[in-house]
This record gives sequence, structure tokens and C-alpha cells, in this order.
Amino acid sequence: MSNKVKEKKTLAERIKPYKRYLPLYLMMLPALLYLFINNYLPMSGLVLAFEKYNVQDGIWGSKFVGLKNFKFLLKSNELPILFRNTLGYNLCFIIINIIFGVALAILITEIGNLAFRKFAQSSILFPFVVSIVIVSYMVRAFLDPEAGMLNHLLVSIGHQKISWYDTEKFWPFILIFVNTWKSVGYGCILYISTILGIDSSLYESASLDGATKFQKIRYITLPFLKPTIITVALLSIGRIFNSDFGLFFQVPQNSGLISDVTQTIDTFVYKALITQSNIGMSAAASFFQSVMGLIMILIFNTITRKFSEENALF
Amino acid sequence: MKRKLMSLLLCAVMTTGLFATQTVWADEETETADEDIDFSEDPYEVNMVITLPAASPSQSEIDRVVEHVNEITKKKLNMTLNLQLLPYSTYLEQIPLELSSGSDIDILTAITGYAQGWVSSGYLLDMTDLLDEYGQEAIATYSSPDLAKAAQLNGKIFGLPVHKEIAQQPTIFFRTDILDKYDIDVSNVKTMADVDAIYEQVAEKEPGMWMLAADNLGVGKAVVFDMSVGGTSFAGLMDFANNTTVTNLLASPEFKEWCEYNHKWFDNGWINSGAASDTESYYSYIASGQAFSFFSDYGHPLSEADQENNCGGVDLTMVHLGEPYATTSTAAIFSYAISSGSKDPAKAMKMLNLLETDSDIMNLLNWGVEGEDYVVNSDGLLDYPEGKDASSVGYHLGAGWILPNQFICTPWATDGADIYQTIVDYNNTAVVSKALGFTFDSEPVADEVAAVTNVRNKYYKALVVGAVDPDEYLPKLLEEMDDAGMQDIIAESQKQLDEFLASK
Repeated sequence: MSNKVKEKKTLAERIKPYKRYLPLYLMMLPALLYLFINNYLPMSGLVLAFEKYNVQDGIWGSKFVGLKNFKFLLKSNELPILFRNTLGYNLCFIIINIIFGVALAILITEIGNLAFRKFAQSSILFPFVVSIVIVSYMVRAFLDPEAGMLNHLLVSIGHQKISWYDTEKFWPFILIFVNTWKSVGYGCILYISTILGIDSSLYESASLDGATKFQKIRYITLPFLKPTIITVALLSIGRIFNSDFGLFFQVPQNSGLISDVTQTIDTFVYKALITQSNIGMSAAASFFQSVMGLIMILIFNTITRKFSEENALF
Repeated sequence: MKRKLMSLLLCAVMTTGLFATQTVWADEETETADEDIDFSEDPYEVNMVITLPAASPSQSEIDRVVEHVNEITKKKLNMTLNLQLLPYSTYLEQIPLELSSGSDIDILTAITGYAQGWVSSGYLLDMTDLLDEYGQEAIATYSSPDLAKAAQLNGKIFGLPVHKEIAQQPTIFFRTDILDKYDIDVSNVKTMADVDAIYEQVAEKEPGMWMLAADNLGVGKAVVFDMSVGGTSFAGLMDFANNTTVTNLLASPEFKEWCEYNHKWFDNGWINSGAASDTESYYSYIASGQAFSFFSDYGHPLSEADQENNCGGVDLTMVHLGEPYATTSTAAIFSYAISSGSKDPAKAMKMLNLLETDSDIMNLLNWGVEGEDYVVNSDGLLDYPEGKDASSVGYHLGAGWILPNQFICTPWATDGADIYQTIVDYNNTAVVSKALGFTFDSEPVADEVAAVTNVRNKYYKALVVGAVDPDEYLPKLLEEMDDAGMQDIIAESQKQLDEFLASK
């Protein structure tokens, strides 16, 4: 009896501190609902990866075929190339975007003139909002074999024209260049906001102690940026098996001869299945990508926890 | 709240009133119509989607024309039509998405090569029984019942092919002004070697001009084969009038010859060098005077006029490099199918049957409204109203070859009164494939098809436009295709084809 009363009391006691936050929880509710509807409900669609989907039988009534949908990924002899390209490019992108992003962020925050700083900040973000289809035509303006600027330049200095869209060796550089140009601004904004949040008294006292600009960057700015950098890196690593479809499909103009260096898992799946309308196989491919992405995140999070626990995601 | 309820009620009363008057009016005028049709019901709305390669009229113009169509369909079937025209470029991506989510489209254009996938995913209905019951009149509009049933998979009919030329023919178009300028006789041009000789002659006198505006979409257009046997995989029949052994089409000597000539021309700078990745239509190169000729699959009597139209009115000379031929994919390249999302497939079939047989509706869909978009001239043919042309009338599809049945339209004045008869006659001259009516079901070898498609994408565009040396790349392509499972596809296709031939 006494035990029961005690339990009741604890329950009420337990709830009490949270009551205060009730309005906050209510405010969170729409966002949670959104997350549930948009991110969790569709997960049931993963069952499509194991089915021979037929719209007349519906998602739950279609025939279960086990792992058969995954077979086509293994059937093609492309898998090693797809892995190399998808992982290789994404790793390059992550590293280069961080290095350039941080460097640009530091340079931009050093700009004294506020108006010019705002201008520099916006212009660096601008390519990020340009549609990749437009980017692909901008690239084509440079690389077109007949009318492209680069070939005109080559001819004017007495060089032979280059058939850019048929020559493999240039494409790793072109893709990395385009990606850096396009997406460096996004990370840069995150780093800028972190840097602006650093207490300026730290820099002042460092100056008093006679620290040089580089020492201030090395010993104040970079350590403060570390958590942001790690978060950005971890988030990108989670999507390391997914490639930017527009970049790898639109920019090389779907040219076949260079596909060994431009083909990623996403473009392969698109090209192989677009004519077949096979939803099961497409679902299988993206299921595979998600699982691999999850594994990567777990691995890198463990590594991060080992070296700097407070920066790990979980 | 009260006010809302009131207005809702009012709306309901008004619509009922509307239907009531309509019903009375319909009852009076439809003594000749089918007596199974219950005119006391609300008219059933048939959602129809047509794909259109050219620019389509604005939705308000479409609605204006469809209003006139609906007057007829209400009277005859107690149904209305809700028509949507979609450009070809977005159709193939948008429609599968809509179908996969169970959209309520009733009738739609099915395109060979893609439709098979739609059938195996259950997007399209098996029309066999519906056709038997409600489509006899539509079947009678075809010159043979086999043709009416050409769009099928595993014995299930999924569409009614559009009425148009059923044959393709390897053809080349030269710019007439260049031929005249150098006094070149093309009457003896029959082979790739003859074409090559003409290029040699012209290239010498017109340096810098591209002899050939190449496109990377088809397979060598001077190569004749039956591709429908292997779906999109390039397993198919060569010499299909006599032969029924399935082979890899890209391994044929004819394809090699095509690649070799193109490579020679490409190396000489006679082909637009960006052809392998070009998304520009090759017509524009002819129109701008940059190129001299192009190959085409269409050699029917109207083709020359069509192509001149495509090339911005440049005068062209059509030369055939082979006989017209008919295969499943040429005969049923477009067909009209009923989607599995249809709320009432029987009604959809009745509507399709009416579209195939009612010339008033076909005239409306193709040419617009009489007096507004066209007038009837003294010969009984159609022409633009006084002072108007294609761009100034509100609605003028002029694309009968994508509509269900253009043969029952009234001909346009500039096409001539016997235009449709000319097409029928041309169809009768075609060499017919033994596999006509057979469609490959790629489902059992879906993995291999995906792998082979990928290999093919890598090389074939570059090979077809001659950008690479066939001696080096063709063996590579064939070897990788075999590694990816081409032989399994060929074996499966052969098995299905043999079953089809045995059942015939």
C-alpha cells in the first residue's frame, strides 16, 4: 500500500519538471509530425526492394521475391568501377570542400569593409543555387567541340581541337572543379557563422600577447571550427554512397565513352532502368545505398568518438 | 459555417438541375445510340493523355475543341472527354510516375519499347476481352486483324496501334540545292558506297560543310533489322522475312559497315564532331545550311514533305537505300492503351472505340473547330480560314499519326485528297517480318537487360556517329555485351519467339 503511494508520488514528481516545457513540446509537435510523415512513413516503401511490384496488386499485395532485385547490381561487371567512382569522387569532394570552404571562410571574415564582405559572401553562395542543368550548359559553352571557348583558345594558339566529351582523362578534374565551384559556398556559410560567433576578446588578448595572424588562425579559429567541420564531414559521409545525380548525369551530357570515369551508382541505376519501369530494382539500389551510408556513418562516428568524444554525433 | 452550407446546397441543386436538363436533351436526340447506355446517369468523364512531339496548343484552346468533342460523346455514349496533351520529352518520365501511383488516367498513348515495362508492372490493362466485347468496330478499321493486335505482350493485347504508315525504310535526304549546284544524279544511289561517292564529290567542292548531320538516337539507319524481338537490348532478327534465328544485331556485318563508313566520314571532318553527345536536333544543321544530308527511317510518300517541314522548308531530295519493311515496333510504335487506374475500363474501351471510328471527333482533334480553325474548300478538303496559317489559328495539331485514327479525317488541302489511300498502298508494299505481332517480355532476363543496356550506352552512340574506330571498339562492345549476359537474352528471346511462331 505504502509502496503504491510512493510510486504515484514519484510519477507525479517525474512529470512535474516537464510541465514547464509543455508549450515547447507542443511547438515541436508539427516538426516531429513532419519528420514522421516525410521521413519515417516512406520507409515502409523499402519493402518494394524485395517485391516484383505490380500497381494493380499495390505495395502490400505484390509478389515477394526476396533478394532477386539486388542481383542486377552484381550481374553487371561495373560494380568495382561504380564503387570506385562514387566513393572516390565523394571523398575528394568532402576533403576539397572542407579545405576550400574553411580557407574562404577565414579570408572572408578578415574582410574589413562590411558591404564588400556581404557581397563576397553572397557571390560565393550564388553557384549553389544555380540549377545543375544550367551549369551543364555553362560547362558545354567551354567544352563544346565545335563552338566551345576552350577549343577556340586551343586553335588560336595553334593547338589541335580536343574532343572533351569523348576523352576520359580530363573528366575527374572537370567534375571536381565544377563541384567545388558549385558547392563550396554552402559549407563556407556555415564556417563563417561559426567564426563570427567566436568571442573577439580571445583575438584581442592574443594580439596583446603578440600573436601573428597565422598563429591566431592556427590556435583560435581552427579549434573553434573543429566541431562544425566534423559535423559537416559526418553528414556528408552518410551520403557517400549517393552521388549528385545532376553533376554526374547532366554535366558529362550522358556521353558514353567517358562513362568509366563519370558513372556512379545513381547514374548507372537511372540509365539501366529508365526504359524498364522496374520499381523493385530501383528501390533495391537505393536501399543498398542507404544501408551502406548507415554503415559508413557508424564507422566514422566510432572513429570520431575515439579521438574527440564531444564532437561525435551520437 | 451556415453560409458555407447554404452555398454548397445551392451548388448541389444547380448541378442536379444541369444534369436533369442535359438528360432530357440527350434522351430526345439519341434514338440511334446503343441501347445499353443509360443516359439517366451522370456522364462518365474519360481522362485521356496524348503525347505530342511538337509544341501543343494552350490548354484553353484544347478545352475549346474538347467542348465540341463532348457534344458528340455525350450524345453517343453519355461520356465526356478530359484531354491532356503532353510533350514527348516529359511524357516518358511523367507518365510512368503517374501510372505507378495509380492515377485515374483512362486512355493514354503507349510507346513501343517502353510500354512492355508498363505492362509487366501492371500499369496497363489487358485489353483482349474488352476489345472483343466493345471494340469490334475499332478492329474493323485495320486492314488486317493481325495489325490491330500488334501491340501485345505474352498474348495479352495492351493497345490499339495508331493508323499510320506501318513500314520504315532506310532513306537518305540530300539538300536539293547542293545536288543541283554540282549536277549530281542520285537516281542510282542504292548503297552506303554510293553515298560515300557523293560525299567525296561534294566535300571536295564545299570544304567546311558537314556532309552528314548525324544523330545518336537510332541504330545505323541504313541497317535493316527487326529490333522488337529483343525489346531494347539489340537482340533481334536480320533478314526477318526469311530468318527466325535471333542474333546480336550489333554483331552483324551490316552494322559494322555502317560504323566503318561513319568513322571514315567522321575522321574526314564530314560529320558534326559533337554528334555523340549532341542533344541538338540534326534538322537544325540542315536548316542552317551547315550540313548536306541526313539519314532517316521514314521513306513513305509523305516523308519528304514532313522532313522539309522539319528542316524549316529547305528543299530536300529523298533517296531510298532499301525496301520498306514492317516489324512489330514499326507497325505499333504508338498505340492507345487503357490504364489499370481507369475507374471504368469498359467505358474507356467504348470511348476508344468511338475515337477510332468517328470522323467528326478525329477532325476536331486533328484540325480543330470548323469555321474557327479550318474551312472546307470547294473540293471538300480542309484549309486554313482566310488570312490565317498554322501559327495564327488557335488549334491545329496536324499530327494525325499520333491520333487514334487519322485515316477517317478529312484530308488537308495541301496533302491532297488521296493522301490516306497513298499511305495504305505504301503499307501494302512492305516486306513483313515473320515476327510481326511478337513482343519480347524482358522480365525473365531483367538483370541481364539492365547490364547490357549499360554496356551499350557506353559505346554505341560514339560508334554510330563514327567518333571511334570500329575495329577497336566494336569487338570491345560485343565482348562486354556477352560478359553482361547478351547470350542469355538472345536465348530467352529465341525461346519466346519460337513459342509465338508455333502458336501462330
